[in-house]
Amino acid sequence: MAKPSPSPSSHAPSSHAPSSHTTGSHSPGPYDDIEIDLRNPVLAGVFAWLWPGAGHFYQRRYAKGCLFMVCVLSTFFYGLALADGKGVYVSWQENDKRWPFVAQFVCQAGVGLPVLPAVIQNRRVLVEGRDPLWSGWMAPPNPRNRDRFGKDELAQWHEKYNSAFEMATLYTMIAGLLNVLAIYDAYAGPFLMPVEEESDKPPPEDDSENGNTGPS
Amino acid sequence: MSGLFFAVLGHNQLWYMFPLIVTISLVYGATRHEHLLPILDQSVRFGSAPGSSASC
Repeated sequence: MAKPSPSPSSHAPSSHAPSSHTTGSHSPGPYDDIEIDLRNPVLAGVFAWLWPGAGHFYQRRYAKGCLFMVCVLSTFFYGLALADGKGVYVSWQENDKRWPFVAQFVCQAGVGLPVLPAVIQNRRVLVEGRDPLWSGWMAPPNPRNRDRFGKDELAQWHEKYNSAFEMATLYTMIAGLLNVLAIYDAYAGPFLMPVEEESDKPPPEDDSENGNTGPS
Repeated sequence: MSGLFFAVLGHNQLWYMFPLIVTISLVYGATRHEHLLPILDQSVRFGSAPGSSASC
C-alpha cells in the first residue's frame, strides 16, 4: 500500500507531514516511515471525484479506497433513499434554485458520477418538458404538476416526506463534501499527524533516563 | 443532562446524526493517516467527542 516513491516529486506533497518521523521516547508506530507513491496526483484527483475511492485504487491504496468508497457512497445512497431519490436534483426555478446560487447541488456534485442522473433528468424535465426517467429518480419537481389544492410538486414532496426530505438533502450534501476531502487525499496524500499528540506523553526528563539522545 | 439527552433521543430526528458521525469521523481519520489502525484510532477519538459532550 505505502510504497517507496521512485522520485521526490512523487512524495506526498503535504510536506508539513514528514515521510519519516520519530518521536522522542515513543517507539515508532505504524504512523511512521510512510512514503506514498501518488502516481499522477491530478489524474488521481479526477478519478476520486468521478467515483469515490477510485483515485486511491488508481494509486494502489486499496484500503483507503475501500474506506472512502463505502463511507461516501453509503452516506449518499442512504440519503437518496430517505426521500425516494428526490433529495438530489438540479433546478434553477424561481422558488427552488439549487444551482448555482444555493449550494445544495454544488455540494452534492462532489460525489461525482452518481449525481449524473440529476443532470440528465433536469434536461429532460425542465428543458425538454418530457416525463422523467427511472420513476422520477433524481428528477426535479415539475412546476406544471399541481394537485387539486394548487400545490406544486415540491410542496407535495415536503408534505409527503416531511423532515426526511431535508435529511436526504443534508446526507447527500455531506457525502459530496466528504468526497472533497477524499479528492484532496488522493491529490496530496494524508496529513500525517505526529504521535506526540498522545495525552500520556511522558515528561521530557524521562527521555534522558531511557537513553534517548536528542539533538545536542 | 445525559438522561435528558437520551430521553429526547427516543422520539426525534437525532438518530440521524449517528451514521453521519461515524462516516465523518472515519473520513476525517482517513485524511489524517494512511494505515487502517491509526485511522480507526483517530476516528474513535474524533467520533466520541460529540457524543460525550452531549451526554455530559
